[in-house]
Amino acid sequence: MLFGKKSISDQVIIEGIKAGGTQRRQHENLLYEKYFYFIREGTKKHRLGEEECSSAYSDAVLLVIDHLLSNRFEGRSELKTYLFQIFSNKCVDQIRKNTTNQSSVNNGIPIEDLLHPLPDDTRTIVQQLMIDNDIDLLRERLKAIGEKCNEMAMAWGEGYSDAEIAKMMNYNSPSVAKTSRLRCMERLKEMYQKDFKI
Amino acid sequence: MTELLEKIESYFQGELPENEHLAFEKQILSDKTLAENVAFYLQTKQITKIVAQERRKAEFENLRQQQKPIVPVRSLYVRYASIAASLALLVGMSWWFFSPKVSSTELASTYIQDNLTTISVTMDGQKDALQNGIGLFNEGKLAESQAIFVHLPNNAEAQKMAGIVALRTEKYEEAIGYFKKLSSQKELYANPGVFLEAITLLKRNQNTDTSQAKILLTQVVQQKLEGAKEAERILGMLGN
Repeated sequence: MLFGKKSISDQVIIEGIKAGGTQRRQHENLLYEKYFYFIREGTKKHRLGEEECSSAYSDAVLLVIDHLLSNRFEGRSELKTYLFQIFSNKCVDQIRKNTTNQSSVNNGIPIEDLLHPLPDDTRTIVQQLMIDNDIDLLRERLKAIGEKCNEMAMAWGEGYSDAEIAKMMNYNSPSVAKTSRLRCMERLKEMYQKDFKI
Repeated sequence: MTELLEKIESYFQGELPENEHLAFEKQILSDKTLAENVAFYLQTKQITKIVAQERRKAEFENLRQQQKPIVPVRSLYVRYASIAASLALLVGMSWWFFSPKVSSTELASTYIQDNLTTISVTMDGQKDALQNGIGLFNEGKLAESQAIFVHLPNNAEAQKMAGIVALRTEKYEEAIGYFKKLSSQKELYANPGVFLEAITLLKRNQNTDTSQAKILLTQVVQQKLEGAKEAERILGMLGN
């Protein structure tokens, strides 16, 4: 944070993130900047390198944002305390990773959460098909679907609604944005199927 | 074909009517194409989230790089301004430091009430006399317990108890004497002498007692002495 820049309150940050759209991104950055000094504290407390602490801090901020958007953060503790706790856990994960020489896999959304709405018998079938899919290939094809589609997919991945995507990407309406997004997904599927028959 | 993906999305967003919702679940069991498309939809959702997070992390990293301190070439003016700012900060902090936000006496009384009215028995070489003394202390027979503690001058636990009795009976000078003597015993594994001296000063709350107590509490926290966690909490409540 720049010296002399007025510190913004946590409440304003929370409201800005929950407001969505362009405000959300701006307030996410403010959250990242406000407690940026945790990285320095982490290097001292956990004896981790600056890069490792920085990565743990970014992961912690992203998780806090996720919890804010999904209302998992209920405000029982201060946002700072909440973030610091998650950051400390991420640092411990990093230490564990260093000592066991195992790299953690970023799952994005736990598979159980994704499959949760499905009944048990259906879940087993879909889960097996997901395991059989070629994740690396899908990632590669996602990069190649075109700038606009990629941008739209990223916004969707970040949890923006179709209404927010429509505003950010100048579509006439949320339904137009949704149709475009699903067309992009269809395109991704075709590109993926060329090399991997699903 | 976007209709199929749209239907899948509607299902996962809970937007399908109940009959369609159930029919959709049944269809997955018998329709391989639908099952594959559901798997693809969920996998894409997963991957886009991961990639989006990686991209966001990279953006955060850029922010961090921009904020890395640049060492400036300081002019004399900047140096004087820095000194002046530091002095102003020091004056401000001193004022803040020495002005209690919560009554010191109240804080100490609460601590004493919660922690120094019933003491668990600690075993050592002179356990019978000490246990007897602590038993009397726990029964509220402070004068009788003190008569035992003062006759165990080489027992650190008895010294601590003598100090606590003095504190409870508002003989603060005496209590401080016991706690100072206790804290000078460097060979003890866990020595609460400094912390209890600070509590005594907070309770007495005369002249510079509170500021002196804050210094002692800070020492307890920094050197991780016995009572460090409690000291940190009290400092926070006092406005530090």
